[in-house]
Amino acid sequence: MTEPVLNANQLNKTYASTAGVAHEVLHDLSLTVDKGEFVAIMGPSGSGKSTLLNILSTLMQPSSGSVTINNKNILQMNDAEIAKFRGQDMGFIFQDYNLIESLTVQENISLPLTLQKVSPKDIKKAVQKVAQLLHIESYLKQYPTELSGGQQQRVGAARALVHNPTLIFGDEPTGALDSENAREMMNYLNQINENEGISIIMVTHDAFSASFASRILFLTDGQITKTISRDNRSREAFYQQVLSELGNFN
Amino acid sequence: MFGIALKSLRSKWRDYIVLFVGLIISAAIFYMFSAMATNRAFLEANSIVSQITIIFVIGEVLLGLITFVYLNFANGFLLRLRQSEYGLMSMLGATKKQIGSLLLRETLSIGIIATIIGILIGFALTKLSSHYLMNLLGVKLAHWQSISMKSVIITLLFFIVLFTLNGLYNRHRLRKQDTLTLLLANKQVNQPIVHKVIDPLLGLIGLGLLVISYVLMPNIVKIGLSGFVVILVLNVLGTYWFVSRTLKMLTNWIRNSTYSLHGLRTFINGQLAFRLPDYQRILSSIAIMFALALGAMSVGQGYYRMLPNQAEKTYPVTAVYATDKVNTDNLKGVQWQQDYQYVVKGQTVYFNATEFNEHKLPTKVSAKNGSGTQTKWVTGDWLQKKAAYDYTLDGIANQILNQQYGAKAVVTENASEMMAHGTPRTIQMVKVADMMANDQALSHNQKLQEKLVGTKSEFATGSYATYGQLKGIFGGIEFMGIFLGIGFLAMLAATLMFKTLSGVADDKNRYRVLAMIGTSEKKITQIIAVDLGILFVIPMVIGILDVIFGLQMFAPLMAGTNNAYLGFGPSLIGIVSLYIIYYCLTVWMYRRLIKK
Ligand SMILES: Nc1ncnc2c1ncn2[C@@H]1O[C@H](COP(=O)(O)OP(=O)(O)OP(=O)(O)O)[C@@H](O)[C@H]1O
Ligand SMILES: [Mg+2]
Repeated sequence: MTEPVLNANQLNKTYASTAGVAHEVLHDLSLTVDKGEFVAIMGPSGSGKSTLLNILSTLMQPSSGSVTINNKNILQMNDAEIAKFRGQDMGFIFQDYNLIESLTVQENISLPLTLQKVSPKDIKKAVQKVAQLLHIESYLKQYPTELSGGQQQRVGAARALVHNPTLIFGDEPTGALDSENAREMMNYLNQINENEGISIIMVTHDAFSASFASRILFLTDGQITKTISRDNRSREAFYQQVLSELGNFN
Repeated sequence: MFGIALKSLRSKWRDYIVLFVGLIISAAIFYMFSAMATNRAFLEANSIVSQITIIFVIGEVLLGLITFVYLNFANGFLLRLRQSEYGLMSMLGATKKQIGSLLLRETLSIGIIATIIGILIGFALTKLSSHYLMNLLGVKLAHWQSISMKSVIITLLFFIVLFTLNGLYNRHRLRKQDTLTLLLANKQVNQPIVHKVIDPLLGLIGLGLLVISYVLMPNIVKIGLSGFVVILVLNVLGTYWFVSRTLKMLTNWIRNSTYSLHGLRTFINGQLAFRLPDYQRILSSIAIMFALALGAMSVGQGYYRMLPNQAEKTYPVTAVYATDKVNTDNLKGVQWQQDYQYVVKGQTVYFNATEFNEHKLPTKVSAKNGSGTQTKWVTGDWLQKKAAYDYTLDGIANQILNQQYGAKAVVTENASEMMAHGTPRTIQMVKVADMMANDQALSHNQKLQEKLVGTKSEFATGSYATYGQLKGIFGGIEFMGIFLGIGFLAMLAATLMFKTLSGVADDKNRYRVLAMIGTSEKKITQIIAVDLGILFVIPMVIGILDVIFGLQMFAPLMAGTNNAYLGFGPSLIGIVSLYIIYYCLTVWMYRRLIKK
C-alpha cells in the first residue's frame, strides 16, 4: 500500500549570489512521499523550503541529486515532457494565487483542461464540479481582481484540482488568508486528500495549517532535521505537538 | 525621497532606456522633418511642384499630431513606472503636492534631456542619411543643410510644450488617486464592458467614416488642400472606432463561445480583450504611421521608377554620341545601333537622305490612339518631305552644337550634297533594352563624350540624358519620400517596441503561470508570436489599405494614376519585409525577457 509517489535523493542546491559568493541552500537532502500522503514542510525563514518545493515540482533544477515522481526521473525530461507532466499530474497552489488577471474565474480554472484538449462539454462539467466543491460557483463570470484574497485562493485551488492531478504542491497556500479562510482552505485540501487520494506536499510556517498534514518535515539550513507523524491522533493533539516542536526550535 | 527615486531608476533601468530611446528617436525625426519642411529654399530648388511647400507643412502638422500621441503614451508609461513608488512615498508621508511637483520635474527633465540628445542625433542623421541617400539615388540637391537653427527652436519649443502639458495632465491624474490605488497600480484591471447598442453602432460609424475618407481621397484636387485635413480626421477617427469596437465585440464573442475552450485560445483572447483599452489607441496610431511610411516610400519610389519611363517615352534611342570615339562595347543588351554622317555649317547641321533610306531613323510620334507616343522608323525621303524636320534631328543638331536650342537640321538628297557644306563627321546612336541596367556604362560614356567633344550633359539627347535632366528636377521629391518613409518607419518601430516591452513585466507572471500548469516553452513562444502578431498585423492591413486609396491623392502630382502606383509594389515588399524582420526581433526579445 505504501508506494512512493515522489522520491528525492541527495539534493543539493547552490545559488550564485550577486556578490559572487556561492550560497548553498540545500545540502544532501533526501525524502520520500507515499501515494495519498499529506506532507507539510516547516522551518525558519530562509531555510530553503521554497527552494525545495520548487525543485520537487519541476519549477527549478537542483545543482545535483535526483527527483522521481511516479517512477519517472523528472530531471531527465525534456521541455515538452515536463509540460505534459505538469499539465496532467501536478497541481500548484501558491501564496500569491497566481491567477491570470486577464481571464475570468471560469477561464482560469478551465485553462489546464483546455491545454489537455478535453472536450468543451467535459471542461464545463469539471469546472462546475470543483467550483461546487470550493464554493465559488457564483464568481465564475468575475475577474480575479474583483474577488477577496480568500476567494482568489480558492480559485487557485480549483485550478490546481480541476484536472485530477496525482500530486498537489502548495507554497504557503494559506499565507495570505485569515484564520477562518485558512481553516476552510485546509479543510478542502484535507478532503481531496482523503476522498480522492491526491498526494499533497505543502510548505507552511503556520502550525495550524501544518497540523492537517499526516507528516511534517522540519527543515533547518538546507537539511531535514526532524520528522513528526500524526499517525492516528486527532488533529488537535497533533497541533499541540507541532506547537511544542516549534517552541523547541526557537 | 530622492533615494527611493534613484533606487527605482536602477531597478527599472531597462524600462527607462526604452522610454528614453523612444523619446530621442521621436525628437530626432521631428527635427529632421522640420529641417526639411522649413527649408523653403531647399524645397523650391528641388521641386517643380509648386504645392510642395504646403504639402510639407501639412506633413509637419501630421507628424506633430503623431508625436503628440506618442508622447502621450510615453508619459503614460512613465507614470506607470513611477506610480508604485509614488504610492510608497505617499504612504511614508509625502504630500500629494510634493509628489505632484516631483512628477512634473521628472517629466520635464527627462523630456528636455531626450529632446536635446534627439536634436543632436538629428543633426548627425540628417547629414549622414542625406549624404548616403543622395549618393544612392544619384541626385544632387541644392540648399541642403543639416543644421537649421529655426528647426532646433521649433523642435525644442514643441517638445517642451508637449511635455509640460503631459506633466500637468499626469499630475492631475496622480492627485485624483488615493495611496492604495497608486500602490497597486500595476495590478489594476479595467475589463471592457460590451454595450449591446453603442458598440456595434460606433463600429459601423467608424467603418462608414473610413469608407468616406477612402472615397474622398481620389477627389482631393476638387476638394482642395483643406480637404486633406478632413480626410485625415475622418480616416483616423474611422480607424479608431472601427478597430476598437470590432475587436471588443470579437473578443467578447469568442469568450462566450466554445471556440475558446481549446488549447490556449482562451488565454490569447483574454490577453487581447484585457489589453484592448490600452491597445486601441496604439493600433490606430501604428496604422497611420505604417501608412505614412509606406505612402512616403511609394511616392518617392514612384518618382524613382517613373523617371526612366518618362525619359524613354520622349526619346526612341538611349544615347546619341556626337563622336565615333566613344566606344559602346561596354553596353549590354544593345537592341539597335547606327552611325550617321553629318556636316556642321554655322547653326545648321546637314544629314543626307540616302543614309536614312538605308538605315531608318527611329523617331517619336504621337500614338495613333492619341495618348502618349510611339516609335516610328522613318526614311530619308520621309524626313525630307517634312517641312520642319523631326525634332529628334533638331535635338541632335543642338547637341552637336552644344547648346539648348537654335540649331537647325537639314536633310540633303545624298552624301555629296551634304559634303558640299563641309567635312563629314560621325554620330553614333544606340538603344539598349534596359537603360537602368546600363546606368554606369552610360554615365561613363556620357562623361567620355564631354571630355572628347565637350558635349554638356544638359544638352545631350537620348533617353539617358533626359533621365539625368529629369532627375535634377524631380530628384528632390524622390529623396524626400524615401527619407520620410524611413523616418516614419523608425518612429513606428519605437512606438511598437515601447508598447510591447513595457507590457513584459505584467505578462511575465501570466506566462509563468502558464508554464506551471503545463505549457511547454515551445508553446509559450508560439503564444507570444500570436499575441504580438495581432498587434503587428492589424495596423499593417489598415495601413496598406490606407495607402492603396491614399496614393490616388498623388496622381495629379505624378502625371497620372498609373505613375502614382509605380512605387507601391516595391515599397510594399520593402516595408513589409522590414516589418516582418522587426516583428521577429520583437518576439525574440520578448521571449528572452519573459524567460528571465
Ligand atoms: N534566486 C535566488 N538567488 C539567490 N539566492 C536565493 C534565490 N532564491 C532564494 N535564495 C536564497 O536561498 C535561501 C532559501 O530561500 P527560500 O526561498 O528557499 O527560503 P524559505 O525557506 O522559503 O523562506 P521563507 O519562509 O521566508 O519563504 C535564502 O537565503 C535566499 O536568500
Ligand atoms: Mg518561501
